[in-house]
Amino acid sequence: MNFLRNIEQVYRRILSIREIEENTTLQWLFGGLLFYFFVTFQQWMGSSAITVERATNAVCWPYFQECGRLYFLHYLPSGYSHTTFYMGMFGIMLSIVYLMWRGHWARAHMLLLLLFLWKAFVGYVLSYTILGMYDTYHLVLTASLLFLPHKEYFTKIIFVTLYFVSATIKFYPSWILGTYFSSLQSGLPLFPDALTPLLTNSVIFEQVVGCWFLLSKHKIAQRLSLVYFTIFHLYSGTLVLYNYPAASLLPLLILFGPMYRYQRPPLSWKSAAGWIVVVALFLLQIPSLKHDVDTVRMTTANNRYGMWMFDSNHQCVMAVRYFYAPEITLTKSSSETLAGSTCTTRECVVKKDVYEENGQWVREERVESAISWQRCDPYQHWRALKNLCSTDIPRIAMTFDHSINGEPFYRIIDESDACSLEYKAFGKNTWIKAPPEAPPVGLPLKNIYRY
Amino acid sequence: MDTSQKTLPLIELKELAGNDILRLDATQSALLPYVDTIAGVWWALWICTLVFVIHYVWRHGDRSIK
Repeated sequence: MNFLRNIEQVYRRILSIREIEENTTLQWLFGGLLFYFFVTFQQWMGSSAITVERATNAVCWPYFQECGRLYFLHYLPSGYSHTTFYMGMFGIMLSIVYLMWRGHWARAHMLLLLLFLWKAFVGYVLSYTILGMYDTYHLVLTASLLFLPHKEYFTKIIFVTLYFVSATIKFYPSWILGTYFSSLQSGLPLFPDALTPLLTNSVIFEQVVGCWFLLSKHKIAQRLSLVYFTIFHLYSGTLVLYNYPAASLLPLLILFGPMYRYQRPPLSWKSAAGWIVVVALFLLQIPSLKHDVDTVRMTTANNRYGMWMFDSNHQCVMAVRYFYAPEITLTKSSSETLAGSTCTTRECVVKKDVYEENGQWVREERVESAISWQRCDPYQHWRALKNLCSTDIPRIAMTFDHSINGEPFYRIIDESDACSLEYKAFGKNTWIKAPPEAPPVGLPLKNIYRY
Repeated sequence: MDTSQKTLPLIELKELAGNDILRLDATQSALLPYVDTIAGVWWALWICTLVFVIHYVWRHGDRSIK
């Protein structure tokens, strides 16, 4: 018993648990962040994305392209382990609520750490696509609450830094002219089109300058900033639904609302870890700034390492030809000759065909993005195709056309054998081109924002 | 919206002479020649803000805190 008590004492000291025990703001934040774990896991529980059944077509991070090998949960009807696992998570979340109510913050903290580790592991090791930008907000704020000393101050400044860093992706026509919204069929929600540039530039100003007033000791300036961002998040929900407001509005109101107090920035050795995290948020933006901004928007190179939400309005068309091994014979099924298309949430297959060419069977598909928030990330699409390469399909030819903010489509990939390509995690991938190297091939219709 | 019920394609790729290129309204057209300048101003303001924040933290930081 003494051994366990000693471990708890060390844990409490290293992770500054006393701060949570003595600080009502942090206790509310604990609950707010726990709530978002519930939001995340209830979505993941209904998805087969990270299960053995999907391992062969997993889209992994460029820095760890074998992620599918680590999948261990089985999705129904193959097995119950996936749903059992997430009911275990539900049990942990319930236990945390009980421990919070009893005031056992060290034990609640240990369990929240488990939730954090699983979410971070899935998002940064097991899947390239499962996390949204709101999940990054959630994970960074949770890390601050779990690990840093001076938790209240650093969670506040990290929250503000996330706004500040997000502003840099908006220094582009998408937001300066507002073409993100004017190239949508439905335009900017609730406001007349003429106000689009005014409103989009006001967001830039608030994310560059206004956000820092959230930390102000001047009550009126602090409250004005709080009101702006509260309205901003409520308004953004008309596009992004509950996810982003749930991840950001709760921490905003808890940290900067009625319980807000001005704190001087801590400058001591103990605060070094907090400042390192703040600097890291800036550094994470650098990989996507390695190339000029137009190239990054078009190729999305290294885009996922920093903030990228709502950078541009994307449309893409991918034409694929699967070349089958000579010994394989395909027959034209009804689905291949059917007129019209098959749509998932993100994309539509608008053409399918099967034919013989030079003694080899070929299956052809044309896939179009169906929504503006589909990122049209060429890596993601290529990776999904590469997963299909095998002795049965030794060659896949692909073209990938990408349009941004209603501008022309550019053919950024035109490869006769996608199976032989490799993707460099950090270097330049010469097979993904940007204008002027990528030729213009067409003009888009206005894009669609929908779910 | 159920797109499976819509007549597709959603994207009409008619080569460069096909669809109308994105039309900007009067305000956007007026701002268009200055996009790079405006982006430069935003970057300058961003850097100035960052410098100010670093200066503020350094000057008003609490060095007595444990």
